[in-house]
Amino acid sequence: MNWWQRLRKRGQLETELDTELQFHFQAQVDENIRNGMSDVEARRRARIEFGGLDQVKEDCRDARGTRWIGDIAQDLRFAARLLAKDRWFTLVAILGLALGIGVNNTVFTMVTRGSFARCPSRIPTTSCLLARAPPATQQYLGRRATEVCRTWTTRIGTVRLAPSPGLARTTRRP
Amino acid sequence: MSSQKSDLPQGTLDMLILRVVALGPIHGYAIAQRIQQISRDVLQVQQGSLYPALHRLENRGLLGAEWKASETGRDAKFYRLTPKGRAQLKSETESWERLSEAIRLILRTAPGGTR
Repeated sequence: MNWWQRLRKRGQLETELDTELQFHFQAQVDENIRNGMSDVEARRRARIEFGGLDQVKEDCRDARGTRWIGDIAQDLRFAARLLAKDRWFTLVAILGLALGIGVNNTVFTMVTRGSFARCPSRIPTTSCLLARAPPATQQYLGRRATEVCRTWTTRIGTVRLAPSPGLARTTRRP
Repeated sequence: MSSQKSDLPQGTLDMLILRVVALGPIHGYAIAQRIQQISRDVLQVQQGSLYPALHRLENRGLLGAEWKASETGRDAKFYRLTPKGRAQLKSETESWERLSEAIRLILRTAPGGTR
């Protein structure tokens, strides 16, 4: 039986464990009676000798190796019950966590992008700034941009920017 | 019982269980009885360690188990040795014999000993 089967059949395993230990207990009682004890005394002695039944069971469940799954499920149920019981605590906890995580994430993103990240281009010196501007400026900039891009293209040779007529057309539109 | 009882050295319970089960299918209560009898009442296995050990050995595939009617007519879980368990018993017995022989040698020859 692998651990998955042991997990799925844990109801059956529990019953079997119970029967098995019960058998042991009963066998002990029978033996005590054979040794001349009264019924009550035999049971009492067997119970003392057996020790904590629940402790034995718990150790047997440990041996199954799947107890941590059940334990996690129990912990989750317990946590959910507590959260449902104390709404204010839950609300404050959620807000606190949300704020903390949000601020942390924002700051880290800013620092990483701003100070540590590399420019997402193979040749950063060729990057262009695209901006909205009044049509006249756009036309002027468009022409300028085309010229600049052409210059760069010829200077570096292998770099391909947006084809110059296309770029001119997009920038000319309002 | 007049004889002195000893605690089992760590890790030997598994070996003793395998040894007793190797004699034929047997339930937990009888395993405890058998260990006590064979050791002439020196070793007493508590249920608290016997059953967890049995379940551990079963989960490791060293023991197999099936439910059968016992001599008293009640259903009991009978354990038997698997081939893997037989191999484990062999290797554990060998290493135990090596170890106890070594300890015996030292106790006999070390100066200041009782012999």
